[in-house]
Amino acid sequence: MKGLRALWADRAARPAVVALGILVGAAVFADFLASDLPLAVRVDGQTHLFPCVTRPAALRGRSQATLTGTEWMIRTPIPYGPAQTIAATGEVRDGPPPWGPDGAHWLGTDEVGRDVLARLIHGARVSLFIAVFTVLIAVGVGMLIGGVSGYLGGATDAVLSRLLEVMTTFPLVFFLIALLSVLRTQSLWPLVLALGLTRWTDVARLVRAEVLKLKTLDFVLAARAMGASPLRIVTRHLLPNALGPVLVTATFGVAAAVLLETALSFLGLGVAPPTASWGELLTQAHRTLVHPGAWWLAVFPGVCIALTVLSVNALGEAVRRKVDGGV
Amino acid sequence: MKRYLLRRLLLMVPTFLGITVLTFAVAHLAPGDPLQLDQETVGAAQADVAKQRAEKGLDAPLPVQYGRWLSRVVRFDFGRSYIDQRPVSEKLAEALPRTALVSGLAVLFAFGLAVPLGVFLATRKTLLSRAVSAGLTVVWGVPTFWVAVLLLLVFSNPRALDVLPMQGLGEGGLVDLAWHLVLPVACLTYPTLAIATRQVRAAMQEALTQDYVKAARARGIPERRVVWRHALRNSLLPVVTLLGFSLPHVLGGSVVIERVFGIPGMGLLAFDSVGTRDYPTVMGVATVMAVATLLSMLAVDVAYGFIDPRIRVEESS
Repeated sequence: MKGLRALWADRAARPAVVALGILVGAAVFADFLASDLPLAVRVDGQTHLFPCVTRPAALRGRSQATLTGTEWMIRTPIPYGPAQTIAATGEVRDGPPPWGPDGAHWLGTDEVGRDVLARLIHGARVSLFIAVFTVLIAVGVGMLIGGVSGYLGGATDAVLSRLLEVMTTFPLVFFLIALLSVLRTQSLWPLVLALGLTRWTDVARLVRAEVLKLKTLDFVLAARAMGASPLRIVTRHLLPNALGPVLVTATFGVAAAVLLETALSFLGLGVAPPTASWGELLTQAHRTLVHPGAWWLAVFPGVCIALTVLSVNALGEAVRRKVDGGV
Repeated sequence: MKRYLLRRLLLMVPTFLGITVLTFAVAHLAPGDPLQLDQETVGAAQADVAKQRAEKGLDAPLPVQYGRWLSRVVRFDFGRSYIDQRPVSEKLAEALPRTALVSGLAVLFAFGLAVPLGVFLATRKTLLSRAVSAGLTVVWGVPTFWVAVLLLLVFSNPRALDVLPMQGLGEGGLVDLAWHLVLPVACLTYPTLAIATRQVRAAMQEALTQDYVKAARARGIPERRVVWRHALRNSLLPVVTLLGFSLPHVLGGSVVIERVFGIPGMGLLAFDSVGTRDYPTVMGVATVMAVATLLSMLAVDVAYGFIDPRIRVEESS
């Protein structure tokens, strides 16, 4: 909270904080913003509260578009789910989809009639989830390896440094393709794990350098004199002091992970359809280049990605200013 | 210098082995081998498959297979592709020039433009320089393949401007080739250009506040010379580091861009060979990339010494 307030005080970072707040908010409350089921409804003598989240069996196969005989209904702001095709909405129009932006579909639909805005909102959840957890794993692994390597030195450091060099120079495509073809499931975790396990090298290099610098300082000597174990010295004394630069790298890492997710989706290694992610939306736009007029399919997801990456980078700059200036 | 180079080259050996072992392990980690894929698709007979597997040496334990591969590679024999039975070296020799052309041009443009642009941005404080700075920041946050899709939508779309070709590198002829290169090279250039320009600008801004620059100006050295010789030379280290990181991509290629524009280069070869479990090709591509990466890292370190003689002194002591 204190950190957030400090960032808010940084005027240059304020637009980025606002933009990210909106994006994260959309991601967290995706089900309340865009769903095939309403926020609340009374139908067939039963009141359903937030069926868009609870998805009760009584409403299976029905949607805001097709619900009939309701006493009252509070719709979601965008009354479409991310995977709701025209077959489900029962919309009838002159031509086949994709349809351009209009009053019903603010950002248009894709070639099977799914609402682009609904898919963007739910895609934000997937893309940001992947990015954030990728970075968390990368930071965890990187701090562990960098910390151990820097503190122990000697043979351990030599081996871990080689490993670092190998991972840095290793063509990531191979690793990701192979790992993902083993771990391929509907879950997002394999993707997160694969990305996290390839992106820890920056953090490790940074932490190692910090630890090498810090471990010669008197407070570490004092801790050792008091009989603190190496584990305690690394986890309680060294790593917390190296957190600042790591935080900066981690913030930039989120932006990089968002971009990487789009690239992986494009190569067919991203989330499995029909799950929406920003990368998957862009990929779809590429596939539908055969509909040469459907610019909205490509433009809106790209804007979301660019906005996220720019905001996260601006935030990273702000964090760097804070860290360099001494919080 | 000679001893230093020798030591560095020796240190590369374990890293090279590490990369190839990792690639080998990772490639075989993926379920199924090429023969099993064959069996599923064309329904090859069980006995046939077993025989072929023995012929290809796929029945041996993985460490043995790796050892055999290594002993062949040190004799520059990459084996034959499982897919079309052609020598891997031939496939590499086909893909490498294409990627080197596209990515090489991109790196050339990116760094060739970044240095003057960065110097310009660091020395002028005008509306234009500020707009360019902001533009570069924005551009960096945009996924390459989105840009690629948008460019295709605009420039090779019968409903917009139908001026540039969409796929491949053309059927020969320099003009045709150049025409095909415009979009992919542009897509590969802009992210590197954005980062490199920022680096040059930041380093130049820092250098221009230093005492030696003040001293040079005090001695009456023309401003042009102060900027381009005194300050720039001290600003080049981070740029050279960045260049070192970019060089491997020249040979490794960009899978995404090669796929969007249908350029059969190293990136696509890597992607396809992993997908089809074409182990000899996978290993061939990985070897080329590993060697390229290691050599460019070495080149960067050697270049440091030329740009900043102080580093050379420390190295030899």
